[in-house]
Amino acid sequence: MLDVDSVLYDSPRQGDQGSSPADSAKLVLNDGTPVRLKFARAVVSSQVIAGERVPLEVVEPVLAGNLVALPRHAPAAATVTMAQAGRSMGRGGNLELRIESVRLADGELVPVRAVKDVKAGGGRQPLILAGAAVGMAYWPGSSLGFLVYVKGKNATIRAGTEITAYINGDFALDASKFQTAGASPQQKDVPK
Amino acid sequence: MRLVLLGIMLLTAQTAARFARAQETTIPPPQSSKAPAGEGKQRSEDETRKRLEQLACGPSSVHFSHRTEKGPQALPEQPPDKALIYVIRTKSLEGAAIQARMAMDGKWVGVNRGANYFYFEVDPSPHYFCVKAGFDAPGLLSLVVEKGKTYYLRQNLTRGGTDLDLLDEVKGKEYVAKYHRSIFEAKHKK
Repeated sequence: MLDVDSVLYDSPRQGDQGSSPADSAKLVLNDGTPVRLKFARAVVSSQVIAGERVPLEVVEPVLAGNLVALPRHAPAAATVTMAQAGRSMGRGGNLELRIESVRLADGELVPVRAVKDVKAGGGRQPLILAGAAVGMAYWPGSSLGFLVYVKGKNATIRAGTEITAYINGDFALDASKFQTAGASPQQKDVPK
Repeated sequence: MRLVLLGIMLLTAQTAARFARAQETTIPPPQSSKAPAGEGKQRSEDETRKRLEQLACGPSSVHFSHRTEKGPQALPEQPPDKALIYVIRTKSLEGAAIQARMAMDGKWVGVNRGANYFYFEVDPSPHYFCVKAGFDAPGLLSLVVEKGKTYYLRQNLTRGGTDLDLLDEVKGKEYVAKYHRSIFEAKHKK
């Protein structure tokens, strides 16, 4: 697990790039690395249409060695795959979103999956999101990412709701394209 | 004395009626139809419904003649590069005499009566579906369909309105096995 309290969020510092021994080594973003994401705005099944993208952002930076592969607040997106408003006779709506990939600091897209380990078969598991009937469907080893689904009257995912995705596969990084995890003190995270 | 009592009763009745009318016109829109504060531009529930209706439903000038094929029914093979969509209308007394029309991406694609189904193939991409029966507001659903998959959509006519539900495969196959295929032809009214 990443020690996020010790991570610094820096602006580019030319002198740092590609200068450390870690940078010159082959850097890999490992399979199963967790990426904490949060929904940048509320998603309501009666206010979205399938095919639309809804914004997410990275909650904690993700490091590869001492380089920031994914900076905090980096944008990510989920695609709405099914949207249905609340139905007649009090029956609830449905909302499904697919998260397939996240964009690294160098602009490359890397696929993500829903679970850390891929040994088990695909399936569904409950999530605790917004206190609603929410779950997640996933297909290990597949490049299809995963679905987040919500049921209920105008199924809703609140803004700020967090979800953890996992990097799917090992990805070699070009160290010259990433910043080191070191910065000025004012940009540090406040220790908890 | 009787006249005074009659007057009071009349006044009370008028006030109650006015109050009821005022209640009808001053109910605020549901909270969920507003964009959440401070989260950027987000469509309202009404705007989304109108937009989806435009994308999904067909023109009102199209009508269908319809019959049910009761003979043996051969089902299509799942095409590898397309999605297969079954549209099922379950048996119900609700709206039994009316046709339930189905549109996708702004075009009517078929019609069912009770205990009917029909099917069609679509390219993988987002699609917008609309079911319309009688004078009810249409049932709407938007869905990203994937190639090689089969989807079962149910036209569900209830006392509360018309819905379009996505069924699971087991339930969908069950209905298709026991219902009859709908045969229809579009007729354009001038």
